Amino acid sequence: MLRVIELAGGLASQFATMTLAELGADIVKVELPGGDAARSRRQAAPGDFSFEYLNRRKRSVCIDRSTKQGRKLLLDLVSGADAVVEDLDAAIVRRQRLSYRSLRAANANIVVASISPFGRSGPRAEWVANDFIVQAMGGIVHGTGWDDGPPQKLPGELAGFLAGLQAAAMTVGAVFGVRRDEPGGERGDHHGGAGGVHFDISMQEAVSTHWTREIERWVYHGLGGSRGNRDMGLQGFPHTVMARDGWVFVLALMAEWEPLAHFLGLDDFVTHEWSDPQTRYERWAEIEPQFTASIASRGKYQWLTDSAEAGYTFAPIDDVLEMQHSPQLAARDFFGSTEVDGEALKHPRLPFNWAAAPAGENRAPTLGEHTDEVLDHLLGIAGDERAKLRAAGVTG
Amino acid sequence: MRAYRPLDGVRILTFEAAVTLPAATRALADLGADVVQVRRPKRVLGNMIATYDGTMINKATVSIDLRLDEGRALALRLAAAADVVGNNFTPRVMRGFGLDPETLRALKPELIVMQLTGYGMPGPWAEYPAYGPSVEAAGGMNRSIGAEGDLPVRVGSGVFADQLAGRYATLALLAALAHRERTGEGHYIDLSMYESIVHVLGPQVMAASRASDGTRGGGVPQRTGNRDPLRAPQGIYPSAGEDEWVAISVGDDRQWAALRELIGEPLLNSPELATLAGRIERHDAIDEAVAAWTSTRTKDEAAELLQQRGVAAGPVQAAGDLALDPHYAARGHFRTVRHREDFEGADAHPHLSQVPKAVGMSRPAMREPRADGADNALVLRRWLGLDRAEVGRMRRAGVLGDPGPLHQQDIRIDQRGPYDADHVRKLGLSGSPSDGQAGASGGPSNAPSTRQSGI
Repeated sequence: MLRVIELAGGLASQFATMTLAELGADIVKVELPGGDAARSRRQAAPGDFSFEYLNRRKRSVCIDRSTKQGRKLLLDLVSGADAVVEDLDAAIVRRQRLSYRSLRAANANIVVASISPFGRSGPRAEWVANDFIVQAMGGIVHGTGWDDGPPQKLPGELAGFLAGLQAAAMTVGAVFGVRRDEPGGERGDHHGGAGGVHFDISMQEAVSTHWTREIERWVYHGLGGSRGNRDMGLQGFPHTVMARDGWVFVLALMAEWEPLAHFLGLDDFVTHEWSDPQTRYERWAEIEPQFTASIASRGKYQWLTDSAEAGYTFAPIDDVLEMQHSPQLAARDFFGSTEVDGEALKHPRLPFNWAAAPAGENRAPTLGEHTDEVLDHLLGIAGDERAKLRAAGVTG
Repeated sequence: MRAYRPLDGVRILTFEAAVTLPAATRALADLGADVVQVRRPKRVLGNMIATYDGTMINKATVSIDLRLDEGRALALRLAAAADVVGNNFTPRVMRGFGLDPETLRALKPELIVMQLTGYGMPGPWAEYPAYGPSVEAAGGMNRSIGAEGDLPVRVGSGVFADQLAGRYATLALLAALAHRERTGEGHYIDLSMYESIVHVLGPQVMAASRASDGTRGGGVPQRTGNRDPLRAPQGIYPSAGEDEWVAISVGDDRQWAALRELIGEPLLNSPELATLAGRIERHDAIDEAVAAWTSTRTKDEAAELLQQRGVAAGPVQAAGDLALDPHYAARGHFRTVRHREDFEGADAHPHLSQVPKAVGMSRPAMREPRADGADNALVLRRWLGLDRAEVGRMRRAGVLGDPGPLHQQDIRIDQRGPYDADHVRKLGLSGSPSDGQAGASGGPSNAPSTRQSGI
């Protein structure tokens, strides 16, 4: 089983290790005596379930890594682990001597994924930032919103989540690389068995990779692109339209107009005269009444099904509660359940099936809940020795 | 410096279109995997250059006519020689060719097979086609952007869900490879683009699943636009120029004092604004003062001035800003891909790396996309040991297609931007850009040739 040490400063590392825990990895969440800063998020903003979502299935170990003994305990854990995922402040990494070099001295094969807003090199590495600033600098935001208004941010701490997803993938890939290079592995001693690697993951870069096409359109064609919500842009009719019971996303890319117009019940506009999106755009006022009435005549899920049968790709525009009642997600048993304050809350599971069972219990651990267990099982520290560490405030 | 290539020698056979699985296999190719894309001869799907180039780099292509028995048999032989076989068509497509996941999994127990679809299999929507924007809408994304009362807002990327599901596919395939290395077992992976969107909205899903009583954070979260309940002011403000913006986020009272001092607007000195609650209360008035200050400066100047004082701020970057971003340049996030012949007036173009930086190693080298079927002979020799004569026979029999054209236009000429000598110079490339209308030469630029710079 993969064992990963998490040193969390923000949410990005926690997203990475949550996905790894869902894949069955043993996540040892090493927290300072004050606890992960994300633990208090819900106190500050009652609807913020980030900590509860991102820390399910982990073991919490409370170690004061700023002390000499604490740092040694941490390095001992590293020596028995496959990987470390961290998004600590660069200054803390320096002060507490937790650089890749230090970690590698404890374990030559350790895979370390470091996540930071801009990466740890380059002229803006030390800029002050949070997820909002990183999103804005990484692209996507510039294209989100309306033409006549400011760009809009994406929900939550999405830049951190995207970087965390990269970190999870790279960690698994690197551990695979290490294993196949080991004696007896698929490639034998291919790289001398020293397979450790350090990833310098930039949240900004993670955002930009989700904007690859827009960047390439500029590179190749000099196209700047306007704000993405220009509804008429692609097809010469709006995407976001009110159906009988809510919004539906009307999408039929590269569709021939005449059959589409027929499908949409635009009986007066089926002719070739209307096949150019530009014409429809310019004379939209003529089409609009029939279009609006037609879309409003069916429910949004009905549109999804009917359009799929006709080869189109309409979809309901659900909110995060409506979506929980989607028959597709129900059939796939997609949602898990985690307990928060004695109440069972739904959460998404990984978007793909997986062979191995997930790790641990499906809830976030309390601070230091697994300190004794981990010290005992992984480091062989029990009895008096463990009590002494606790009494000295090294562990909690 | 060598590049980081943990997947050296891993063979991936992929039946793919559009962006999502291609984005996943592109990342695996960047990590050293031997990725072979199967294309169908004489299909004018085309290499729609700006849309798909980023997903075609570092891959080989073979073109096989899967309508023929011999073509399907050849595809099965390639699958049996692969470590991973993936597809992102609606399920009926591969079923129709007899290349469905069940058939492939039966080839050998250690094979990893991926089916990537819009809504996932099984389920009542399993066979429905979808593009990224469809599942962004269905997955709750559009209703989570913008402010309360706004219409739903689309993500400003035509390929957001595609890329996102591609990242999950990368994770799933790497996990399956690691699992196989340990156990010898292959895996069937069914990945849903729809669920990929929901997965990044986890905290919001949890809040929504809790009954709301108005105080304890239950119910569908309110949309707050660019604002934040714990930081104020926070917003995107106009800067000098057209459609230019700067993002500012004041995280604490110290940053607030620094911002106030820098802007020098007496209105902001009001003691009522000394606390977060006070600033949230008067956010609109603060925004007005901040916007007055930002709109006389460029986004980079404004961000620099704020950063020098410890205030979180940054330019809202458009596509061109990113391609020319000096920070990205210093980190090597873009690498130049050379073309065999000039394309769009330049002999090379910069592309984003699809995997993060491995310290002490170079970013992955990038090879230009290959024309359909350009690697028929090479792949069939390496993977199956077929000789030149056999490949020639298959080509004559129409089982293999002839290599197709490499580049095709993907947008109308009249939709193009000002692609000219200046654009090429900005990119630091050489070439003779056309004016996009009649192919007339814009003259060679003075920029150093990338051929000479040894990239």
